[in-house]
Amino acid sequence: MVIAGVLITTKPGQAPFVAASLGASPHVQLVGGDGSERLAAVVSRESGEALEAWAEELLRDDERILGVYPTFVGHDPE
Amino acid sequence: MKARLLVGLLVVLPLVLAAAPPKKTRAVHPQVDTQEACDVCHREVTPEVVEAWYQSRHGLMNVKCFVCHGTVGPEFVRRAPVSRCVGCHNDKVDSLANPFFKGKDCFSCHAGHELNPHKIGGGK
Amino acid sequence: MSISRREFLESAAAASALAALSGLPRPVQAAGGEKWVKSVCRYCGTGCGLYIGVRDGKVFAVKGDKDNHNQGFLCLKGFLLPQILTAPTRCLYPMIRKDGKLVRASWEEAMSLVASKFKEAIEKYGPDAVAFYGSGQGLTEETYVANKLFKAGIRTNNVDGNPRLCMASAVGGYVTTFGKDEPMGCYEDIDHADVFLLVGTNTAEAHPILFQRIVRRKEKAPGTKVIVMDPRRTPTARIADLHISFKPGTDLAILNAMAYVLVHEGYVDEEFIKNHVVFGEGTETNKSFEDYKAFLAKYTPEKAAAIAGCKAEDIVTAARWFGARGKASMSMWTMGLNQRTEGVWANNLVHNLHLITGKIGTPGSTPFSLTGQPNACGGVRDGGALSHLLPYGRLIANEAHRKEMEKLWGVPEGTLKPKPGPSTVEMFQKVEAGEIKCLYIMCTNPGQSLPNVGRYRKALQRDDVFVVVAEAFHPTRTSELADVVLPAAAWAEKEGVYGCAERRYQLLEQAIPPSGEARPDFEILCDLGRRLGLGHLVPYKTPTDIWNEILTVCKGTVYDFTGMTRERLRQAHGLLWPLPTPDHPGTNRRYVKGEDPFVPADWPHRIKFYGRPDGRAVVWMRPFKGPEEAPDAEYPMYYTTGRVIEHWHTGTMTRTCKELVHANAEAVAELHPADAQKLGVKTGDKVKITSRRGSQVFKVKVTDTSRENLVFVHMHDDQHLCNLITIDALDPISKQPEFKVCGVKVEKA
Repeated sequence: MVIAGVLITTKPGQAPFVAASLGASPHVQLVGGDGSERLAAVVSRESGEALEAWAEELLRDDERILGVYPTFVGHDPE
Repeated sequence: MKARLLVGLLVVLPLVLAAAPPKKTRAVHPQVDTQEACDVCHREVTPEVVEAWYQSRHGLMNVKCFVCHGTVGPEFVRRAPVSRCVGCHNDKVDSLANPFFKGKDCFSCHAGHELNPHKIGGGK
Repeated sequence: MSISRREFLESAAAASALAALSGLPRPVQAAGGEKWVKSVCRYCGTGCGLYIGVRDGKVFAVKGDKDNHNQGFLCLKGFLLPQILTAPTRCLYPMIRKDGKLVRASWEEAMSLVASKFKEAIEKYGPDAVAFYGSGQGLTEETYVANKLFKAGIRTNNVDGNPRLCMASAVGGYVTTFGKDEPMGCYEDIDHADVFLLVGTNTAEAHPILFQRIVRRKEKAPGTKVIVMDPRRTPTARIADLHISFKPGTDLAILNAMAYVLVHEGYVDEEFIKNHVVFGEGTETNKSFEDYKAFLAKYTPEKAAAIAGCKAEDIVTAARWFGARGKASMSMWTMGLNQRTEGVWANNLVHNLHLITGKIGTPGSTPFSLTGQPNACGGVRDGGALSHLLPYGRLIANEAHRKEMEKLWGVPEGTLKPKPGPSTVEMFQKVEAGEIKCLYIMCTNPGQSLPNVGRYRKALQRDDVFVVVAEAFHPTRTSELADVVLPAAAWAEKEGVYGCAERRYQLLEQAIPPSGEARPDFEILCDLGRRLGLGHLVPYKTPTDIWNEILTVCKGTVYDFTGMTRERLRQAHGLLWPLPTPDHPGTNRRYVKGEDPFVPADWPHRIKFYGRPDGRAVVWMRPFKGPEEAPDAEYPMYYTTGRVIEHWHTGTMTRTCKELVHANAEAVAELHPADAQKLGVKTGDKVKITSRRGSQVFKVKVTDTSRENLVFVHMHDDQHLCNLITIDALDPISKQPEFKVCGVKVEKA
């Protein structure tokens, strides 16, 4: 399992709405935000490739999201 | 463990850094046993990329592939981090701190291998 | 309470994401005890300003200095500089050869061995049994200490350096034409030039940041013409409006033919000639303009084209562009002209074009020699660390100059020997002959870079020759032959001054401590001096001590940079001499009234060539002479060597950068498709190249950028030595070898 800290940046003022839609996802845990255009989240996926795919999907499908930046990537062998 | 973390980070970093929709290509360049310049092979495998670079200012000034993309193997980065731009464009990189550029990197505006100044493309 | 690994990772991930909320991740700009130290690039003679980024005591990045001439830009080698500091080939401790092998030793053991060997040789055979071979990469202060220690302390003129292999003919050209060394123009001239004559220079690869400046000039002023004269169609030719390819070694004919066109088509500035020029032949300046015209009659464009294997109309076009009234013309050249047996003459012929048209000393009009090493100009040429020179324009053969230096150095009259020492190749011939018993090599790699290197590698391996190599890297093709290897501090690990091609002096500040047990070269030399009982001559504790002494030595010469105090250098982003007082801004254009402090304000003309007693520059009649070894029946092809952009010199540094070992690292034989077809080889096959001196096998690269009957190999590969093949014939004036041309046979291997 790959566990990553990510910073998600959005269009101005959109962060709370993006947070609401991401909150439903089982592998995303929101840990903070600036209330406007930045979100901090912990993402767990089965592999680095899946993590990449998730980030790509997010960028492709959600107009409000401008960037997904990894701040930490750890590997849990369990 | 430390090494593993590092490899993980290097693999993931370049793809998710992208504010533009990344293409579905692997971020790791295969190890190649060559001492030739990148464009020798890439003239064959990605001719449009090499041509776009060659016609760009970087191409004219011989700022070659590895300056932005790193070398082969796990060192390869598909989308260059700003740390690879800072050598020559440090004042421009500094300007990314402006709130106007929040969430953007150099390539959000200077797209593709043409990297034309002040032409928007590729990013959202 | 214990937490699971999963929980630990999640909290670490959350903490890092939260921390990032306050700002975007900016790897090279992150806070945390980092500093940026002002310095200069370690590589070529362009001398690009940069900042070295230091974090936790380590260099993690460099970025261009936008307040310097390079406007913040660096070439790809400069950008990758941080990697050289932690290379596995860094030399970290002294080594002594024992039972044929280099083994680790203490500084005390190594230095006492070096000192005892030097003492023994001097006592037994006299001071000329020892020698110093330096480098255009050493800092000015280091080279100064070596020069003083050997010439005034040990009392031998066996002091030379690798600028003899790259710049000596440019020096000879400037000195014979203008009376003093170093260009009169500056980089800023590029921004004003309407015509560029690039002859024997692959600027795009060898001086990328200056090439970029030419490109920008061309973009800004679309009528700008670029003439590239080079046998190969190099990347520089990409911006050429006219590329003239010619047989190697025939450019003297072309340059004379350009002068012929200028004279016969009315591009001559008679007024300028009347006020500023004399004509000469051989070493005498007793000729007239009429004599010169008669001399040029042999060089019609048609005749020159027949000699050079190019088109006559191209020569005419080049001359017309160069001579066009009201246009500023700038010439640049480097090893294509310098590394030749008639290198000084070729330099003279370029100067002639400027002098007969008066295109000199105005913005954009200047003959500008490009330099290969970062401190060939500042340290070795200006500092006088060649076998015939003393500091700042003084000559060993000149008694008054010797006396002046003896006084400045506080040594008794008669200390300095009046006979110039051997030039580089001659020095290694003295090693070969057993006359030089101890050789101190600093910051350079002659075991790879000398012409006909097989011969001199053998000389260095003589049992009775003691070779000391002070180097930041090991092994090199020289340190592998050493008896003692001394670890020198590398770039960024020490402080000192570099002087680049445009008379620009710049301070490189120390960013980090030396690696391992390495010491700055000046400290090693001072240590040797003390051990030889000459400590009173080299009592320096810091590079600033040395610099302050240098300021007293340059005073009163035409180099005068007394105003460049250490503090001013620290504040500035490069200063151009002459700069005789602390409030002087520096001199962009030498010899020009109003700019150069040595031209009197009441001088009746705009220029005074004060380097010569009559204040006039010389147009020399230099006939066409071919290379020492043109191809013949037995060795039918031309062989030439040069640079590629990814690597530098012998690759000691660039080959430690992970990006660069995968980029053009192997020297390959570039062959024209017609030659490849004749030989029955294709790209990737191997050929054996043989000259009268040696042979080497290279992989083939077939390319139509080459010229037919010419094979090119780059000089940066320590495993495929291009110099086993090159010729060690010398220019009779500059003593620079003819690396650029010899005859070879090429066979499929």
